[in-house]
Amino acid sequence: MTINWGALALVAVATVVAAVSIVGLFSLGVAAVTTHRRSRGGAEASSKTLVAGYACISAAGLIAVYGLYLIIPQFH
Amino acid sequence: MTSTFFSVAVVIVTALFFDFTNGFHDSANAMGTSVATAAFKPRTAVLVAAVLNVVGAFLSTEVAKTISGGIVNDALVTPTMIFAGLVAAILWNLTTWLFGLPSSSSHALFGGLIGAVLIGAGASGVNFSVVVSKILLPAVMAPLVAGLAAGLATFLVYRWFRNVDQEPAVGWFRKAQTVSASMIALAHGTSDGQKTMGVITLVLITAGYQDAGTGPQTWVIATAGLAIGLGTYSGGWRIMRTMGKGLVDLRSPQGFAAETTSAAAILASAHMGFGLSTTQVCSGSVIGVGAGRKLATVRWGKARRMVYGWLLTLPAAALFGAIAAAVALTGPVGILIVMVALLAGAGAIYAISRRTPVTHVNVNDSPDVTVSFGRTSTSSMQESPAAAGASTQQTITLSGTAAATTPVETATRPTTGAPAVITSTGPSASAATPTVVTPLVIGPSARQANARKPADDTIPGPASSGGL
Repeated sequence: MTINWGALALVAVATVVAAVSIVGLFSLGVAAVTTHRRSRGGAEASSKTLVAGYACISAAGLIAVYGLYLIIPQFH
Repeated sequence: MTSTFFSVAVVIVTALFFDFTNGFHDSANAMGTSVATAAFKPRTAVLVAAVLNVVGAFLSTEVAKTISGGIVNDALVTPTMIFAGLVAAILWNLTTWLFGLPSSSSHALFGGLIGAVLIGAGASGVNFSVVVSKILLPAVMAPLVAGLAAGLATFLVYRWFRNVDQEPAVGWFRKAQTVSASMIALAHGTSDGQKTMGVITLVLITAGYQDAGTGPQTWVIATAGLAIGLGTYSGGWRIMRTMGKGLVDLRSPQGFAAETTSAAAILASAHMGFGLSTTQVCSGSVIGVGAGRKLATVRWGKARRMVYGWLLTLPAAALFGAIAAAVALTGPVGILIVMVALLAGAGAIYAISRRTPVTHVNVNDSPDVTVSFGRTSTSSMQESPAAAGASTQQTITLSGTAAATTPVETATRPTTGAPAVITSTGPSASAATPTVVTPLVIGPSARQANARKPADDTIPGPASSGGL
């Protein structure tokens, strides 16, 4: 019986890292964007927060696009 | 020649039926969490999942070269054994669906094949070490890995950020859920969609209707894709309820975390050579996000019963497969008998399910999936699935007819007499989910409840579906 422990460990680590980073990134973005809304009319700092927030959300979106690339076999 | 054609035709039809059950069994994997948090309306959810499943089925290029991935010795497998294995897998899928248990369709198929091959070709036909390395170990690891990842992600998010499950943040998470759930549905289509194509193609090749080494024919791709798509669209609402409401009371950030983790685990396992069952990954994620926010929000009793269901899947399907093979291998008459038994069993399970129906209307109304066998006894999912699975086939024929003739499509309440069900209906914090005030339906027999006019329920029914 051959069990590919290396592949198993790789899958486990990849899953944990991907889950924490994608969910964390997106939540950070959402937190930034919604905080900005709450304190609307704020100073310049809050528009920087807004930009950073949308950047995080876009990054999460890009990871989703990479996921699509992985799913669709025609791409590789 | 005609008998070959007959058995090939029977296998193809049965394989498509299996594909259909595969679809409705697994639509909860992608959509259960999104339906529960109202990211998708129930019918939109299954439509999206169905379309993506069909698209995925057409996208997948790499069709299974073997039926079982080496679990059984494919050289010894005849179309009749595949037929017996498929019959077993269908019956087990329907039984677990009746009880609202998420369980792996692939494991059911492997179990059925193992049983059929044990009868048809002896113990040498089954590679038991592959059973351990490709089924048992991944079955243990999938929920652990997914649960750990999803739990950690949820824990950190709730710790780092405040107000994630309040407006306006929750709206963002709900939108994100539509993306993450769709990814799972598409990935599911590319993997499970091609499983049935592989089975049909291999049968066609063995029977000499197709050249060895050629890919699936267009009509095979089209019918298999259609079968899994129709299955997905029909929803499998009983499993959907367990996935979305039964295990954990999910909020949108949790739903997003669960779906993202599942998608990540499925993609990682597909690309790094250690296959994990989609169902077990998704269930593990759901439990993980529950435990990550607050341990107490997980209904551990239900989770335990689900794990018992997983443990039973392989041996139960193997038993069904062995019985089916023993009968089917006696000749065309045997195949016919198994075919009739399959239809009778499927019809009976469907009839039982109609007594306590779970539909797109009431899927979110309760965490419990109830099953009613007789006039008075209403057992919920709490009952041991083992006992229920074993008794299903006998009970049905006795009392299944009355319920079957009453197509109760409208808002029939789940007829649990327990007040506990009602109190636990509302705590979903996502603001768009209206708190459904369920009228107390205490202790009527299932049949009386089914006979009630839909008008009795008009107030909560449309309110709950409209708001979702």
